[in-house]
Amino acid sequence: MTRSPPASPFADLVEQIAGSRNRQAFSTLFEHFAPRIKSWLMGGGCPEGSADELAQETLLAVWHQADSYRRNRAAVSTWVFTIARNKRIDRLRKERRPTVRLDDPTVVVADESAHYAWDEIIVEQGRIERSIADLPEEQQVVLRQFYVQDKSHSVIANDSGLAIGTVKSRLRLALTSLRRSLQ
Amino acid sequence: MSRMPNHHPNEERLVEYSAGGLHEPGSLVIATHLALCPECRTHVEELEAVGGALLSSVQPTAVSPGALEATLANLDHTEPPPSVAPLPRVTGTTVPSPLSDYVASDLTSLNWSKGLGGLSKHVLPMNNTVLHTFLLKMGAGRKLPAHTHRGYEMTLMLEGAYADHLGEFCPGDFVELDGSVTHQPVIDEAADCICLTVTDAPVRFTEGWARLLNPFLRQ
Repeated sequence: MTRSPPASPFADLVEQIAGSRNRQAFSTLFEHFAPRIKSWLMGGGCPEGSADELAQETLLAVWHQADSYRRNRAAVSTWVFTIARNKRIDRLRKERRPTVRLDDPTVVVADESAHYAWDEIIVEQGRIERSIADLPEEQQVVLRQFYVQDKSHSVIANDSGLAIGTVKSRLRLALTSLRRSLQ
Repeated sequence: MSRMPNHHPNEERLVEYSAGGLHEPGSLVIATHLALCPECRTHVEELEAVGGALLSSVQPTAVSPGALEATLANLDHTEPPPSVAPLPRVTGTTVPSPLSDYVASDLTSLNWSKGLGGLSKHVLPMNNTVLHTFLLKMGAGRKLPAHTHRGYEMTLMLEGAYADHLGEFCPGDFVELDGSVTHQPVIDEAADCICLTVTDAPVRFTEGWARLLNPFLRQ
């Protein structure tokens, strides 16, 4: 039995940018992602003006780096997230972001079967989104403190008055639920 | 085939790295571990997917009027450079990337400052002044004096091996210790042991003559 792959308009749009510098495709991606990146940055305490600028810069990087996107590695939202995250580290924290270079000969590789089929990534991304919404509020809060407010677990504990063990266990419970939703 | 690491960062550290909350020195240790550990690389890809899902599910905020037009008008220009200049890429050494960019040569040709007791240290260039980021070399066959860690210490094994009551540590293995642990590593006899270490407070030797080493590790 063959299944047709799930539609992923976003991946098609990124490939149209990479292949033919399609400005219409870019505008569609911009209209979807720029307002979300802006919210995400403001959620982490970034002032509105800088959030606007960084959202635009992130989309500019999407345009320039479109040919590095691989649909069998990540959903477009995940790829855009990593670009926005790196921009935030560079522009707001003024730090470098050490990253693995997969093409470096010192990288230790396992067998490639660990890689996902494209349709799995799309289905999984949708499941993760729905499962986050179903998590208990306190676990969603901890996830947002890590991912939106880019805090470390000790800062989260300090700011919220929770014991470090409580922060860790809420994080672990949240990730266990998300993982279960993928099985 | 290379040996796969047996000791990995805990989940909080991998989440901090994936979410972007971890400082540069810690990210360097994690990313270098990732270069040597396919299992943690897959784990980080999953954790980045959580970031993607959170980004998708935020309530959008309208961008400033004209933002799309302004960005479209900029597309033909080159991407603006990062505000922190990237380090030149170093490849062709035996040092795994991205650590290779910070040391720029093989570990044997580095300038090591020698201390007492078979310890040598090489400090890495890092803007972060709160944390100490350095390579530590310990002589083959040595038994380090008992010590504890104030604050926390992240370590990635690069060459050689050591053993303590927590287990045996070989290249690629990651260890994070805090002040609750006093340990006494014994270095394998086959080779010097070299590790990458990030700490927010110097190690403190707890007994006898070894307390003389404390000032060396504080520099």
